[in-house]
Amino acid sequence: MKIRYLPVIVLLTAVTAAQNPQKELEFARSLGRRGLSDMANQVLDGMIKHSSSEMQRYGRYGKALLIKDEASLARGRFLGSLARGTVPKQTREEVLKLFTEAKPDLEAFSDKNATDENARFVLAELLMEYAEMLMGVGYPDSMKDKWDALSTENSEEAKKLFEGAIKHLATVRKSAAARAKNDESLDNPDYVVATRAGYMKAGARLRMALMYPSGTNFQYFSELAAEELDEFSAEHYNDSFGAFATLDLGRCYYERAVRLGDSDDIENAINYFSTLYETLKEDADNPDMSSAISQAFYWHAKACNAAAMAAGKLKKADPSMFEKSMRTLSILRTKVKHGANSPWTLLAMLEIGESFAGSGRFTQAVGLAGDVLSVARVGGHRDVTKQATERLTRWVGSVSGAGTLDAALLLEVGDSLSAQERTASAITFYEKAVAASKTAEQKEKVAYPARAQIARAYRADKRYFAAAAVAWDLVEEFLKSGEEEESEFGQHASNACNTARLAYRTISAATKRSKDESRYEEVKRVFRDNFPGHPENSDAAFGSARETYGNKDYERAATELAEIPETSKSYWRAQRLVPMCYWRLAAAAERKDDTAAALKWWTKMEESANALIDSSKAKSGKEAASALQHGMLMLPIALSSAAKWQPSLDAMNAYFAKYPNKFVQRGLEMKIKIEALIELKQIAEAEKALAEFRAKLSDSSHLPGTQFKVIMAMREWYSGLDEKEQRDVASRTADLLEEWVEKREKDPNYQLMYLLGETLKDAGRWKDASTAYDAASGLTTNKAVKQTLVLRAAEMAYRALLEDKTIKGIALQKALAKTRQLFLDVIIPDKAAQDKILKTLSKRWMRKDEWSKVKRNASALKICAELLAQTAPTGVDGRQVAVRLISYMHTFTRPVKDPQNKRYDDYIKLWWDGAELQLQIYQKMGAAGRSERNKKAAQTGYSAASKWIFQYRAMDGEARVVRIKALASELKRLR
Amino acid sequence: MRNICILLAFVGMALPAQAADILVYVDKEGRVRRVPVDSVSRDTEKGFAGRVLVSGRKKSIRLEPRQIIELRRGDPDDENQWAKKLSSGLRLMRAGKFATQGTVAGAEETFVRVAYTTEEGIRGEEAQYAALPWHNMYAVFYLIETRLKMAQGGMKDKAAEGLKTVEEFKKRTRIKARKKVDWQLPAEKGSTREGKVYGWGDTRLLSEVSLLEAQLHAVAGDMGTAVSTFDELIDHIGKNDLSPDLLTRTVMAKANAEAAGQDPAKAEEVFRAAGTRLATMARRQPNEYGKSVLQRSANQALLRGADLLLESAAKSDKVTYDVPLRRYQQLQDAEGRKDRSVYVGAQAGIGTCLVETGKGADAYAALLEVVVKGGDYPKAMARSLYYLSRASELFAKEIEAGGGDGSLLRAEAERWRQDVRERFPSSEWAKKTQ
Repeated sequence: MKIRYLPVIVLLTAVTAAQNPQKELEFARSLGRRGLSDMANQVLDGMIKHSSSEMQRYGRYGKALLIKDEASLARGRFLGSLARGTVPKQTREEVLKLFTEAKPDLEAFSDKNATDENARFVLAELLMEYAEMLMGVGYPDSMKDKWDALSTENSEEAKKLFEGAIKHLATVRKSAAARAKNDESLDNPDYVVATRAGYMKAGARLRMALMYPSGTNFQYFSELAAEELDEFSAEHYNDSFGAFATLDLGRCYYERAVRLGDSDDIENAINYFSTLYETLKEDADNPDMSSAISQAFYWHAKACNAAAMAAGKLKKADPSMFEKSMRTLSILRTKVKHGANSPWTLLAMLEIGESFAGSGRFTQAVGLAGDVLSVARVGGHRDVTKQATERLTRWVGSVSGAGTLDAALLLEVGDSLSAQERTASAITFYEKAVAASKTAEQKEKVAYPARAQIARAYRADKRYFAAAAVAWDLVEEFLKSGEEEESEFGQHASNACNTARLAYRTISAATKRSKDESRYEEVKRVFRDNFPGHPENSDAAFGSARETYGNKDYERAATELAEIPETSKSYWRAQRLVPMCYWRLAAAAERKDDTAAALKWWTKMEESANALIDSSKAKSGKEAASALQHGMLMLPIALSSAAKWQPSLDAMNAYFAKYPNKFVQRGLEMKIKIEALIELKQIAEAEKALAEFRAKLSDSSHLPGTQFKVIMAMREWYSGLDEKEQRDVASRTADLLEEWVEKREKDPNYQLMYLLGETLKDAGRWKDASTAYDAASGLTTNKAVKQTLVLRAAEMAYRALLEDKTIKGIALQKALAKTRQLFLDVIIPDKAAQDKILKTLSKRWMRKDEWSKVKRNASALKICAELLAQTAPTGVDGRQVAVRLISYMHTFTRPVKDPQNKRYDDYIKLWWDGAELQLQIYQKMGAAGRSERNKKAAQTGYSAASKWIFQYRAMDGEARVVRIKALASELKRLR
Repeated sequence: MRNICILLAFVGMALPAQAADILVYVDKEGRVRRVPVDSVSRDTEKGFAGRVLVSGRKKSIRLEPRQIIELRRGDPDDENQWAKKLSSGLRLMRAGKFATQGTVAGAEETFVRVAYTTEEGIRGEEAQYAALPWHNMYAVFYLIETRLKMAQGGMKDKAAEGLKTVEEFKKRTRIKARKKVDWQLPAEKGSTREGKVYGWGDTRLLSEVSLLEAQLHAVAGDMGTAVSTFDELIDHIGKNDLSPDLLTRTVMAKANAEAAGQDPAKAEEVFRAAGTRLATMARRQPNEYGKSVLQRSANQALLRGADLLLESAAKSDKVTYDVPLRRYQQLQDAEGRKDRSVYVGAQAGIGTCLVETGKGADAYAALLEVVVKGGDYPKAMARSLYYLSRASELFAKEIEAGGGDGSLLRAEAERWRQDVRERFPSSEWAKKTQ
């Protein structure tokens, strides 16, 4: 809101709110909270002078509140600056002065308006805050040394203030509870007031206890607080007040454990916190509860660490504890409303990191703290940022193994330290980031900015020669590289050159040596000639547009850049930046899921790229040629992002035809081409393009994602091919996927291994598939999934066994019997009943109640039947059992698509595999001899086959029809 | 396809990977790989075979002896208590807590407990409680290492105990794997008692133990035996084509042992000879990895020699700084062209010599080059930061002598000192700034 419009708004609001003193008061308070105290006072003065007595009353109340608000804001600022370690703008004394001023006004107001509960609440709040400020409660740990002095000086006064607050809250609670006697529901405002006052009163007892670092006073008041909180939370176990009271109760026990060293208290605290977050998880989408969940989880982690530390157990922490914490954390981040970015979640992550570090798992600890740092810096949580940085600096040194630490994380830590003006540590981390940058992409994204930052840090620390030397080293490397100023390297080099220039300017002015002066002139010349695009260097219009671009106002920047006249020496650079502006706008829109806006900006980008191509084609010179290349690259990026696949493919091919090996965007070019090919269903071409991508740019960050897309496209592609081709393509897909999985070896998960198993199965590589499923089963804790994966692994092992010609005779029979038993255990889990069921099935079909002991697992039934047809336990007619198991499987699956229920679709192939197996069994029985029994079997098979041929002509594919028909004619001959 | 999409929705929610024994080896392409070990079926001087975990999958692996860089077993997350104990002993050893303090067991006691146990575990719980021969073997190996460190730290009697343990290791190597034999087990207050221990047969660790043995002889003052043990081991590694890393460590350990107590000039000769020997061996290596490991160590030995010359100049009035300066320049022009660590190390040395000879501007420029290029070399960086504090004062004087203003550089001196204290607090250079 622009300041000059405020008086108008004040006037307008005053007119509309003239008859509503509460709204008027709220408006005045909102002005006060924005720091516009003068205007707030004007509004309140107007109220006091008003003819209505109610308006006057609220006006006076507002005056008192305004001072209270100011005092609270000042306290927040004071504590914030203490936490950041910066010098506070207002001293503690100044803040206390504001409290002292506010107190009599509020007291006077609340005495005159004894029935006004709002006034009493505000007064109680003020008294508590005032007391806390006096005692230093809420100060950071670094201020603890001042604690004692503060305590002795002010404890008596603070105690009186807390007691006053408790008295006011008790009054409010009593009167509101009396009014709410007949309706104790949260819909009744009186009941809510009574509850709120009760909660605040119990909370005030806790805060009062926290005034005392330890000793009998703390013990006495903390017992009172625990008693009252316990009582309150028991009464309100069902609402959010109760949740927060339980949290405070846990906190009370935690503080008792830490300050008095009682191990029972810490166990109590842990129990309260864990029960609370386990219970509240159910209410994860309730915004009232989300803060309580995050806080409970944070305090739980903190209490666990305190307990482990106290017992000296941290180094022996149970790994399952970490798994549990990580799972809860995952819920917190994904399911709890605002859970992912809540400062409490971030602090909880740091506490879990502390446990990891304490038990020697520094890599995991650093990973967590790195995540915290990224979120906290973006979210502006300064205290959390500081804590994350502090822990990272402590843990990073202990991470063993080269290349374990992420270069980008090290850069981020360096940036954070630099922002805290911890120059030496920042430089150390920047240097680590440079050393950890191995690939070309890491160099561009991490090493170059880190080197530029080292130079900047030396300059900020007034070591100008070092700043100039480091910066100049980067500039020289850039000049040798031949890259352009607009590239990322160019941006960092231009900043470094500016740092070098400024450093030499200071050196030259300070030393007054001609040598330094001439060096300054030389650097100035290099800066002017090589980095004309730098904001401190170029012509004014372009500089201003660049600044707009730098301020991320891309829409305005695009307009300003497009207006730069052709006569300007920055014309081509400006034109090249125009599509970049639209790119950034589109990307921002996509991040916000605003598809319409994104499409609008992609179209704008396409237009500007086309315009750039047209204008630069007609011109000669190095800059125009460079602009043409830039335009030809921007065009397919825009087209592909707008899902215009054929034009994007054509444009990308045109680019590659002219610039075969120019990968300015480090692989994005190939990604675009491959994506277009996939979308246009040219999967074979996409596969070829991927091979080229892998050969040319193996370290591109776009490669893994693109490779995965090709893998998924190939999977879809081969499912429609004939069997031989399918196996070939599936095998190639599996190779690609295997390589992809191995690259992600630090982050194994069962879903990926399952996918690999499926692909290997499709490729007919049974043994490999079995290993993959086996590995997948080891990576999940979900029992049902685990069992499915174990079965799949067994099925694949069975298939491999059948194909393995080296295993024969008894060894083969033994192996088959072992596999058969595995599947039997799945379909008939009751082992005692297995023998009876198999013997019954050898003779007859079973009754419904008998079948209830056989699991409806279609795949396991089919494999079991297949195995029983080959080998059966003594006294069991394996073929008969197999035929009946298949028939049972047919009772709950479908041979054709059921439009009413799609879940049957997955079973169609299985149904027909079973049917074919049945016919094969009948055919073997028929061919075994000319006995009546065998003839009958052939007849049964023939009848079934004829029925299926008549009923389901298409079956599940042509190959199946041919095979079933052949079996039918064979059975006809044998009957 | 639908199923896959559902599955993919879970990608990235995996739990952190468990720790395990880590095998460090060189693959056929010469890349150093670190993989968690699932099981070991053979680990002798003829080769390694076992299963490792790649993306959670168990894969069989076979390695030639020269491919193995390191496999130190002892996993804090292993369900077996003895593997956990090995890990806790290693942690104590790394923390320098060798001896038992009161009731808190040190590394030595922890390893002794594992070294002689043949506990089988109760039926069904063998995985948690049973001791295996390899638990014994690694415990004895770590025990020797602990005793060497104790001896090097001044407890000379530990050298003799260490040598006795070496003999035990060799003896148990000659016993067939898993076979239990009668043994005199250590008991309270230095006494022994009858008991049984496992043998473990042929093992890759035997050469590692020989290296420790040679160092123990050296610490015990028996240089003759130490040198012959070192030389036998070097021959053995060459003949059996063992790891170039082991070869490097052996040659360097020998040089360290020979140089100990010598005057700097003599010690420099020792390191120069070791460097030359390593360089010769590097040329004979069959692959690039071996060549690079040995050449790098050769260069470090030469640099160490030059550093000793610098120390000698600092200690004696008879030796001028020109001698180390020339040596550093030679190194920079020769080995430094290919090896950045030598270049940076030599540059820090040059800067130091120039400071000591009072050449402020040149020293400052030389040391700034380390600041620019030496981020990955903390030793050279720490030295340079310290000498920059002195060089900036010298440079300031020179500027003032030429009519300029040196206050900017004078103000820098304290910042460099502060920098070295903050960034390298435990270095000798930080102590010098106090």
